Order: sequence, then C-alpha cells, then structure tokens
Amino acid sequence: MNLEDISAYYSNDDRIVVIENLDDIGQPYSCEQWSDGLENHQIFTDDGLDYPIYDMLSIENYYAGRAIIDYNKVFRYLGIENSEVISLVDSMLLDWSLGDLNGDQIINILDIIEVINIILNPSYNNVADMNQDGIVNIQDVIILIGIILEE
Amino acid sequence: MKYLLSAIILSISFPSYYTIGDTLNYEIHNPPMEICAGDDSGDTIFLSDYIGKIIIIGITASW
Repeated sequence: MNLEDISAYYSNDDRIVVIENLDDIGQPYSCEQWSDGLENHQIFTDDGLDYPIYDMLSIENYYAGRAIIDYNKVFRYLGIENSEVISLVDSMLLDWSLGDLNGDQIINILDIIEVINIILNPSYNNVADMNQDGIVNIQDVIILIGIILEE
Repeated sequence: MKYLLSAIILSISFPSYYTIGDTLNYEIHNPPMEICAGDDSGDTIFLSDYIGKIIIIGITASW
C-alpha cells in the first residue's frame, strides 16, 4: 500500500489530511510527474530548496517515511510500514472525541481551559469546535460545560 | 547527486528537531509548503493549518 492508497483509504474522513512533501524536485521527477496518474487524494507539496520538513521529523534520517502528527500537534509515528500507519490512525479515530483537547480520554475543566486559550490566542482546532461551525468561540465553551455537567 | 550528498551530510550533522512523543512547536517550526500539483497548485499551506486534524505526511524525495 502506497501513500496514495492510505490517502484514498481516508479520503472521506475530513479529520485526516495526507500530505506528500517532496524534496529535490526535478532530480529527476517534477512534482507534476510524481503525482501524475494519482487521484490526488493527498496534497503534494514542495517545502523549498532546504529540507525543513525532513529536518523536523526525519528521525535517524528516514526518507520515504510516513510521519503522523495527531490533532494535538503530537508527533506520534515515523516509519515506512503502511499497516502500522493505518493501525495507529484507526486507533486514534476510535479514541477521537470532540472536546477532549488534551487527549486524556476525559472531558473536564482542563479541556475548557484549553478551549479558552484557543479563543484568547485566535486559532482554530477542530477538536475544540464543538458545534463544528468552523469557529472556536464561547458557544463551544458553553457546549463543553453542558457535557461536563451532564456527566 | 550533489543535492543527495548534501542531504545525507546535513542529516548526519543535524538530527531531527523532534522525536516521537514531542509536541510540535509551530511558532518555531512551521515551514511554508507550496502545493505543487493539482487544482490548488501554487497555494501555500502550513502544518499549523491542520491543528485539530490528524496529519499523515510522507517525507519523499523525487529520486
């Protein structure tokens, strides 16, 4: 299973994004040539002449590796086994819970603090967007409080 | 080949900034990535655009 197969596998799940970042474009293949014939479920990117993505994530100098970054920005995996990628991502999806900002499988006051931090430092986190309206705001805090009070 | 040798030398000299379990700091490490194929070709994205999603990123070279 290639990266494009993984991308196709998750193509209907908007919680996942698949990026294929290319280094050394033109040696010999162009980006268009590399992506030619693929259904382009994944995003093909070029991070420039330097190697910033590789430098960030390439433990033990992996190339042709797959890295997984979870919804809390935690670097979870680097390897070449697609079966491991699928297994890990599937388990992460099973554990996926809106509102569980810190990923501890419990929705509590700590998650509310995380949401408030997102509001105060304007950014977006899909897990904090409780009503999935594309904005993290006080409405999401109210929904989160409601969930905690119901438990 | 020159670039390949450079990449190997650089990677040996500078291990990755992160290891498994680390939380990425997008205030420091958030390189622009230009979409280079498909309908959105030419657009620039950042890893930080996808906070709240699971990112699977292929680290690939075109050789």
